[in-house]
Amino acid sequence: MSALPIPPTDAAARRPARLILAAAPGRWTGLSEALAAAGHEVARCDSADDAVERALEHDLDALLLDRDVPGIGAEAAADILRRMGRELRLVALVDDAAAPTAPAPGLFDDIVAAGPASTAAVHDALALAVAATDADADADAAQEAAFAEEVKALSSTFEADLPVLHRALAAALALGDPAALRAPCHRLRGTAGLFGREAVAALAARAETAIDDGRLDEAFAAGREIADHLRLDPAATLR
Amino acid sequence: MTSPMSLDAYPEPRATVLVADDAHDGRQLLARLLQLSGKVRVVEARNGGQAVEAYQHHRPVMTFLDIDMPGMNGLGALTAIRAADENAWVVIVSGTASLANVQQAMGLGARAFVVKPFSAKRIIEVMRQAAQALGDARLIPE
Repeated sequence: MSALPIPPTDAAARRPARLILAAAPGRWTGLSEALAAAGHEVARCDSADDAVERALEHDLDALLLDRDVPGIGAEAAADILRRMGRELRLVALVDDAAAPTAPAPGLFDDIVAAGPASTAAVHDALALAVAATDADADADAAQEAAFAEEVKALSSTFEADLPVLHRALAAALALGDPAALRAPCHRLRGTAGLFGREAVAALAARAETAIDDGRLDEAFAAGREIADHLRLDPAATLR
Repeated sequence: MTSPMSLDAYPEPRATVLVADDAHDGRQLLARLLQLSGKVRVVEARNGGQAVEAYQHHRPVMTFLDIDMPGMNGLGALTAIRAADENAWVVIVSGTASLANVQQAMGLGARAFVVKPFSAKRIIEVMRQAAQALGDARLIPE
């Protein structure tokens, strides 16, 4: 992790943190409620596997992993995220920090033990996480703004192609032809999300995967949902 | 007597970065973001086979491989590239963050895993890490 600046002492100056708390259902509920009550955006998941996937998909400040979270385990999840270049603060939540099986330091930025001080310790960790994220964001602001302009410029090309994709989808659905359905779905899967159409991208991914797995009913159902989405999209109006 | 040549006459060559994706929009967007983020020259490939050839020809500093390409996919290209160059710095790009794919990519030697739709923040993050690991300042914005 890059060197962290000292966080502002005025709590009101810090924005709320975006975090995931990964723990088995019923575990650390007091902590997640306290963090949400303090204004942080807390999403819960109940496995380390899910935590890894979501941490790779979303911009977050921190990931809190219960030491005993089901799935691949907290340490394996932390290791994957470190090795895959994901910069976010990793906090291990343990029942007893002094236990022989406590996580090795270095993998996690913080190890927080259950107890009266745990909420305050997590608040401190989140303040550092937010400070680090915001320091990077300030440094990267020019590139992010320029990128937003590029997306806007390229989206007009994508939107010009939407009616063509819609026609191709409609034809494939009418013919019941999975190969013909796959081509527009592959294009939409890879691109629609880049231009703000995440729902279409997700449906296209589902359709394409279902075609490859031979689940054609599911594929055509997803294809019909995509066609409905595009039918309601002014940029994709059939001409 | 001729005056000495100024060092400014020989600007530092840009870092070559390879982007492989069969989707034109995705390739173009990523290429543009890479150019905004560092002093890079982007080489594009439309499938895994082209990516492997382009890697051998250009020896890029970093390579971005979309996981889902016709013919040889991203993981196949990753395997071939790492077989040719065990130090290759390869980032896998995918539309989904399936743990199985992430673990497979890691096992094959990928250095990062980026999920679409990627944000500028995430691309800058992986470039910054590559810059630190490779000692190549051209990969980060000034």
